[in-house]
Amino acid sequence: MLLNNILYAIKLLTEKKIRFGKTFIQKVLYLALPKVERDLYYIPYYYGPYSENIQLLLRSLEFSNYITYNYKSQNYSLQRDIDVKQEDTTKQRIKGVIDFLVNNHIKSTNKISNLAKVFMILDANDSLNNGHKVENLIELIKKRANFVGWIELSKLDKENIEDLIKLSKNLAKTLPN
Amino acid sequence: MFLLSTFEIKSFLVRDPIYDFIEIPEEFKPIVDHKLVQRLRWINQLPLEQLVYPSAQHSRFEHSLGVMYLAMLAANSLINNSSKQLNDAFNQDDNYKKFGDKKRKKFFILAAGLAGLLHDVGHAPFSHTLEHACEHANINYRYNHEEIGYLLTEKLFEDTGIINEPYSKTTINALNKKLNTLHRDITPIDKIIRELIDGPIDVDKGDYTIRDSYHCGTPYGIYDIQRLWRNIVINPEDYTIAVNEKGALEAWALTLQRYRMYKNVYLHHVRNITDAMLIDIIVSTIEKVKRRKNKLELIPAWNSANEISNENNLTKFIFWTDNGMLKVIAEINASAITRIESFLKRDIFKRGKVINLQGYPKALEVAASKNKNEKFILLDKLRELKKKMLKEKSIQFDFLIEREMIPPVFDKKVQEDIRVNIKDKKYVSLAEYLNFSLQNSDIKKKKVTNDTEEDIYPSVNYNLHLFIKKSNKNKINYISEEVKKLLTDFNTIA
Repeated sequence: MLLNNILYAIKLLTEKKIRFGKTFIQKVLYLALPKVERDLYYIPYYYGPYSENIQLLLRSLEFSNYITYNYKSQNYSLQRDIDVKQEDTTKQRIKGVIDFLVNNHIKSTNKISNLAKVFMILDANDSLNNGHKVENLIELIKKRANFVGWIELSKLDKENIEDLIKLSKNLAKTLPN
Repeated sequence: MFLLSTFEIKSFLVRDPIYDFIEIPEEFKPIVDHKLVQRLRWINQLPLEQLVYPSAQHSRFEHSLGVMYLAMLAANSLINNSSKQLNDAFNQDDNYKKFGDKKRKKFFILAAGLAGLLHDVGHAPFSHTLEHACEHANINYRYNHEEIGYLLTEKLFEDTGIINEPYSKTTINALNKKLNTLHRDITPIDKIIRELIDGPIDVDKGDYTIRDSYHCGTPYGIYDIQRLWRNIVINPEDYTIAVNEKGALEAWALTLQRYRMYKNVYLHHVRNITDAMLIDIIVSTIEKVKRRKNKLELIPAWNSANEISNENNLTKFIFWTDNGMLKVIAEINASAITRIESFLKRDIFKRGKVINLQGYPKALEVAASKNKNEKFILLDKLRELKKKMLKEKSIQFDFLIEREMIPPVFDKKVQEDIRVNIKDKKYVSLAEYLNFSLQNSDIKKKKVTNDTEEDIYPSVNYNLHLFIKKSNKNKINYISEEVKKLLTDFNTIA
């Protein structure tokens, strides 16, 4: 259920003292959701993978005072104590993604957006878990990024794209299925 | 205005109330004559709206021909206005790069026309109503006209021997929504055709907005067709469809008129009431036959979309039309006959209350969910309440959950997606071009953060509409409170 997963992600991000807005949390959930749900809810958008449903639920949670957004500290905070009872696979994946972001010092919206974009391209081409040559993958990323209007990503130098590919593959390996 | 002879495409003509004449390429004759396409003559484009606007008797066949024609007109404009971008796209496509300029253009026109002609071929009788009814019913299947349409398109191309034509391959890729645009198999040409048929500004909307308006006898859907579709270009940044400055106002007109059509026609309360009524009839029939052999009479693709490829089921599909389905329902579900009669003679419930689901996140989550099983949980509870009210209090009510439409000024499509090509090859959003971009507004500036997507656009919303039998009208407040209680209980977030 998306709603529970959104609240769980907000709770963990707050605990880890990570600043996050709508884009950041969209990308965290994109990286964490199982493939079926990623494909169901997300489309490639200007800022990377985007889910209208997640946007809708964030608004509704704000409207119903479950969460508030503080524009000064640029952060969501929970307004009620949410007891997350089930430690299901998706929640383990959310935790895995957030730990991964902390360990790899990925704190900016820009960095997580680029990571999510690369992850999305590799995922769409079944290249997250296989041994394609890095050069081919760099070419694939550049071509497809350009194709959907992710111009900044397509213009990144090879080293940066290679780094994002490695991060995506490591993340995919780290997360439980 | 004849356009196909320019590309050495032989054609024949049919009369059309919107475009006067529609040119149909000779290559399409076996497709148009195929039983799967001819079936669309018997599927009403607005089967429920005609209970409000009696002259709305046009078919999906007529609309499909219209979209085909408009797609070819638009493709012709892209050839004229964006030749460089189009050539770049041709050169990246194995299906096109081996051909010379003339053939490439001809195939491009044909691919656009075919995708337009076949974009609705998978529609069920009563179209979206049947799809919603599958969500309400306790079955593990959801009818998806796009998925079915894609399978039928492949079947049509095999039957007519054009499966290996370059333009057929483009059409198939454009209609196969399972492949998202990041997939390596989707070429720029595939994407352009897909955007033309299903994008922020596309020929499907371009045709139905004006055609439905014409047949309803309303003035809501009128825009300047030629001005818009002759002034479109390819945005070289991402191969999306943009408009040039001459077309910008008409892109806005189409968006606005479509909104007027939604408010006055597609979401008319009588249409919503009959939608709920028909969903109820179909669901009760589905539940009656779900363990019986004759369930395929009701939905020829009951278990999976692939079922349709079986010849027997395909024949059932051909007879699966608006009237055909009502007849089948009456035959297999005698208890529905009275309700079908009420539907046919427009003896319907009255408007009750509207509950905004934004205050009920859990209900909103399942209402908007793309997972059928999740969605069913709430719908089933509401249906249970409906039964309980009838049994215990003799109160008859009905409900419909509906996605609200955002006014176009605030719509992301207008604020961001539809692009206008201005001087120096620059592209800006339609809202920015027309000077009402929220990106530049004072409200936006107050909320600027380092978060690039921290927008202030209103989010889509879902409403729960309650309808009530005329004789129970004084009970609507009671029903509304009961439904709110149900939503509050449902709202427990663990």
